[in-house]
Amino acid sequence: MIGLEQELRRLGAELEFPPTPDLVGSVRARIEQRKARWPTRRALVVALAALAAAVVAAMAVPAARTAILDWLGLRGVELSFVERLPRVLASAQLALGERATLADARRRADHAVLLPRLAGFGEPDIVYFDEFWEGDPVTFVYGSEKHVRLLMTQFRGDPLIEKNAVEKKGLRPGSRVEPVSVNGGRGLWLSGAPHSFVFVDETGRAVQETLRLARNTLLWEQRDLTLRIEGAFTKAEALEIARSVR
Amino acid sequence: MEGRPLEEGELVERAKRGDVRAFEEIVRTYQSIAFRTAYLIAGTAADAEEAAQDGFLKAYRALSRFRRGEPLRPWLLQIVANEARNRRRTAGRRAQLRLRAAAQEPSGGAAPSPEASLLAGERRASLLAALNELREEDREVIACRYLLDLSEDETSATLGLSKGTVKSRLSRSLERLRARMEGAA
Repeated sequence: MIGLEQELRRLGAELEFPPTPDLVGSVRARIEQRKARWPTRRALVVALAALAAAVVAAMAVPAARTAILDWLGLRGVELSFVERLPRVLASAQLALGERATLADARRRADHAVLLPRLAGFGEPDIVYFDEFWEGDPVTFVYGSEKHVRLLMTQFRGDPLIEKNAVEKKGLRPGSRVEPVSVNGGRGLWLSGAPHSFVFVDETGRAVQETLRLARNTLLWEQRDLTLRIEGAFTKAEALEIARSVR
Repeated sequence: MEGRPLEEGELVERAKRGDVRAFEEIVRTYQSIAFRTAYLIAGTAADAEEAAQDGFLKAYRALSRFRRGEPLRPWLLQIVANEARNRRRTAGRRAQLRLRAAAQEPSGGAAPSPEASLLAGERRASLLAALNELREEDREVIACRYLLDLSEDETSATLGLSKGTVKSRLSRSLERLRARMEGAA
């Protein structure tokens, strides 16, 4: 008699497994495809409207500058101040990855996928998942592509992201940036004139098709995520949505 | 065991620096065990292929977080198994284990090995049937530890369980398997 464990080992050797597919080829293809679409060190740049005068003044003082940059520098987000925004069409298309279902995004994303828990914002109408960005961004559209009520993006904002994929913001006259607190995490409320929003590659070049104008935006950190909501809402409305996110 | 530690460490370091060929070498080494692990968990060849492919891709992206000197195989299997489990959860089905055609008829074709005759006929069929009837968590731990012949450490990494849990779950699962076999006999 042989032991059950030994029997099981022998059985394992006799099991029928489907032939192993060529994963070397398919994984290589997907890595190359990803590199072609978006260099791995691609950064997300949001060239945002300008700085309020007070902030500009404070920026001239080195100590204050550090403090401001600290709250401006959310995980995975970097604000840069530009003289002039790139020209952008307000109607530029959303470039948010591929269409997915909520279940699909949950399955594929390397992080928890949070939802607003507020009347009027149940399951998102459209879900995007972008596996080609390091933070596995998941984006929800409430409304339709043409009439977006709320756009919400969440990605894993860990140190890897900070290094590799940076959301940058440039500021131009007419926009405001305010630090806020959301669910115990640091946040930023960007409002006023629309700002431009663009992904750039590691060399700092903008990926043109991702360029578009953004409206009022709230960015914040929650757990290991960095979240961003955008829409035609007031600060109080944005905070109410953000604070319901779980 | 697949892979020699030194060479493997070098491959990982190269892959971390963006050398896709070095990563291909890693995929080549582990694709078979990764696919089989995924198959036993996810239940279909298509899901297993997807899980293994996505798992390798995620591993590639996460390489910078892989600690130098750690064993690579359990780390990869853990990522792949997680992908496979997510797919099974979505699909709500499970694999029915089957024997290779050659193993089903030990007397035909190739010469039967002494092992095959030891584990012949009804005994093997009832073992398989009992395995297929086990609860998922029981079958998973048995599949990793015995059918795939992973070490205890690898089993615990692959299934994301502590070593203690693997030990106790294994012994309980074997008991239940035994009970089923006796019940069927």
